[in-house]
Amino acid sequence: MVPAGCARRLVSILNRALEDCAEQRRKLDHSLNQCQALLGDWKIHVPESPKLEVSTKSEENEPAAKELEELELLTRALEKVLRVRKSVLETPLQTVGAAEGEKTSDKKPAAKASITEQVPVSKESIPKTIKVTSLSKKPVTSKKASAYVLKAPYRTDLDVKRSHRKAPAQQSSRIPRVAVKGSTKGTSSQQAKTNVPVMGRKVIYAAAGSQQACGSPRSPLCKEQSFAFGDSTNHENSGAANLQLANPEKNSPGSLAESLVTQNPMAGDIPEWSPTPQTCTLWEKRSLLKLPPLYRKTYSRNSRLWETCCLCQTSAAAAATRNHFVERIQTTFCPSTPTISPAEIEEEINVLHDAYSLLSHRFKAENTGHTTWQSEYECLLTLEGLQTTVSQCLNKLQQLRRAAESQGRLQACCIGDAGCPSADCTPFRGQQCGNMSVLAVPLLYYSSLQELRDITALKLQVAMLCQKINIQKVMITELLPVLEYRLHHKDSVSHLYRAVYTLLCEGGERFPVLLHTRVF
Amino acid sequence: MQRRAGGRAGPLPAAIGALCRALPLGSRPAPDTFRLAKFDRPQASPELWRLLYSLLKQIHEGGCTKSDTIDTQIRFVKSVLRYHGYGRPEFYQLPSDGSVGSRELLLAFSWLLHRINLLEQLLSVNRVKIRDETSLCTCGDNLLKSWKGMTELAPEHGLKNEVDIRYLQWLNGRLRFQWRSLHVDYQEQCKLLYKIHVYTNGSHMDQTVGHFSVTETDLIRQPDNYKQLMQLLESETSRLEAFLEWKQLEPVYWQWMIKGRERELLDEKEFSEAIGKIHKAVELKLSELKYQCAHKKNKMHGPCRLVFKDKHPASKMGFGRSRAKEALMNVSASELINELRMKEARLEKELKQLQEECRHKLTEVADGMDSVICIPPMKR
Repeated sequence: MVPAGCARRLVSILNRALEDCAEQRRKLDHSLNQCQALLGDWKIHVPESPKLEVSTKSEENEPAAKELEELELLTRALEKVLRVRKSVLETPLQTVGAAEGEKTSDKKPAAKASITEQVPVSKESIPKTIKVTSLSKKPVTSKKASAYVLKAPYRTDLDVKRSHRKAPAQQSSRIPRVAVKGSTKGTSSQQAKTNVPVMGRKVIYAAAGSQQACGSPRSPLCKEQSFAFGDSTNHENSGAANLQLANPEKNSPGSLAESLVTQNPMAGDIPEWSPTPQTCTLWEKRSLLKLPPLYRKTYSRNSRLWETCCLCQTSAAAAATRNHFVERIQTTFCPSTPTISPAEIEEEINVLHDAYSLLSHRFKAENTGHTTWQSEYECLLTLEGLQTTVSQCLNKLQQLRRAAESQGRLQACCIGDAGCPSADCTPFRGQQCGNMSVLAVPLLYYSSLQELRDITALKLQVAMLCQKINIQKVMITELLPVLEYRLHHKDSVSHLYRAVYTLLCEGGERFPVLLHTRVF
Repeated sequence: MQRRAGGRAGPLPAAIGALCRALPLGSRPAPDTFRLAKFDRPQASPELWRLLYSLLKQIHEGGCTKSDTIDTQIRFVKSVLRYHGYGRPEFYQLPSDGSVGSRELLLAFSWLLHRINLLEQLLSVNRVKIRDETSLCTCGDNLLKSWKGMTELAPEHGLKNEVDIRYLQWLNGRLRFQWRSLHVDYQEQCKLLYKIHVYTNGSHMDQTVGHFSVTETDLIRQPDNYKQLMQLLESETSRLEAFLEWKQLEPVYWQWMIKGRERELLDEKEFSEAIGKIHKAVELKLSELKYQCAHKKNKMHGPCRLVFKDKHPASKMGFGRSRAKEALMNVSASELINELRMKEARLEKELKQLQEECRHKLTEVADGMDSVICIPPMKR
């Protein structure tokens, strides 16, 4: 226990700062969730039976963890699909041909097993060529997996499928978190997440394409994708199984699409249940989006009105009568009312505060050594000018001080016998920062992501620095006396000294080294 | 409604009606209240106190705690008026049960209308949030708000008389960590926001903006969630219309306000003119001083609307239709970045200087410690 005296103020300041941070993060979380939901999959509004949706809500919590994993793996898989697709375009036919010989029975379990494959998949590098590896997956899991998968297209598992689909909507917001929190795979999975919408679309089209009588331009696409899809999730084992994926595509296009789609929650509903895909993303629809007509109408009316209000001036007649009234009223004010109100005092104090920091900055800048007489003379003149400004500011400060004092006297005069204690009435502080043209909100134009980032980072940095400076000042007043007191009383202060040094001089980041010179 | 000799009786109800309709939805008084107040009828007092309380609370704290007693409400209103420099002693002497004084309240209300641009402020504070907004400054930041008036201290619960320094170090470390997490979260938000802006670029019917905001995009995705928003927009539109109407009919209102007092102050006419002249002269003097002292008026304050605008000249949207008044205040990101960089540099210097001073002091202290040498950490 290394006591630091009664540093109550410091503790309360730090705690309050922590609370403020936490509150900001909460707000940010909320907004992040919203943005991520917008960038994820959107459910197109098709009348669904609400019962099914309700029933899935209870199921969601249980399979959550498993589905998260699957989702993550699928995300990455789909990302690789696109990349591999390009390389696959060269050699679709030969490899597909090779695949045909394989047996078909294991296709689904293998694919499924590859999905349930754990994390190591993501850490492998993505092969650009298609590997044909032997099926090394344990038959046990494949059985289980096959049992799982076989159910998928059937009605009973509509719920599971829907929960797959619902899961992304609520949990997609969590996925980047999960991904980010994982140490090394942060950026890659984030990338995967952002690429997914594109994947999603392609897979949907593939699925839809395969469903529609397999038109020729689409089926090779299908094959390549399913090919690559299986492959990419399956580096270490059972590449062969993936080749088999290509097979059923020819035999039963519908079922492959189904399996593809069910295994990929992003694709949402199975095409064969309803004719159109049920989800899409912002990226896909980006140029098709239109605001609802009612909103558009209201919005344009609204913005025109705001414009008019901004430009609206008080008519001369109104201004005259109004000023007349105000003057009249002000004649009836308490005679000792100063002309400057506390609100104005506060505003002026802010201006003076800024002026002070600017002036001190300039002063320090001017105090550098001068080599030539010209620069020295220039410095002299600048300093004289600064001095004038400083004395003006000081005068103003005096005025404000007098005004504040008379405000205090005014209270006593005006309260009369209501007996309202001054503590109630004084500590009212304004909260706004002076934006005088109240009705118009300026536009901040930015033109690149980097600019937006810079602005955000800098604002945060400025706020943080202000806070640090405040904390530093409080620490100085609270900690240094403790140290000096203990030193004065000849207590052993090494530990305390070290801690105080760290806090005061290094912002809590680095420690000094203390050496005992006493020989034991 | 009213018949006053020599006045324009007809437009008065319209003016008061427009005034009431321009006020926010939850705080609208009955127009009749004004008439009763003019005659100093006591039944109008509680309503006027409530009105002042809710309006001032909205402006100053952005929220209304209806649970406050009439006593607290009255105290709040009085303190705000004092803050803005209202000096009528009769007003401050009104009893705190809110039973009388409707005429005083009407006077105070009218004075506020002019003094703090009450209507404009209310419109601005209650603006419906459909746009992506940010602020040009960090004044309104929560993190900084708590620093104003830190002289008051709530005693910490469970804090013994002495605090372990390691606890302070721990708190400090936690705070640094929170800042870092906050930074990461903010950067993430930037990315997402940028994406949404870029994806929806070109789809908005408002040419000065060009892209959707987050709320608008969500509105398309889930129209059902936003019925309330639409209603709020509608009500805002009608409030704006009422405001414009009020601006037309303003003279009538002020005339009406003066008329009552004319009878009383008829003989004080010259006196008030003289006072008015003196006030004007002093204001002029002060304003000159203000101007001289503020040699750098920082224009970068307050909330603003975030708009993505592609730099490529191919996109023709833009400044053709920008609103006249706002165009003067429009800020580009690069300006803001420069401003913020300079500010950051100043603050960093200040912090470093404080730390340097501490180092000096502690070196002195170290000299006072016998048999201990302090080796400061290496300079990075």
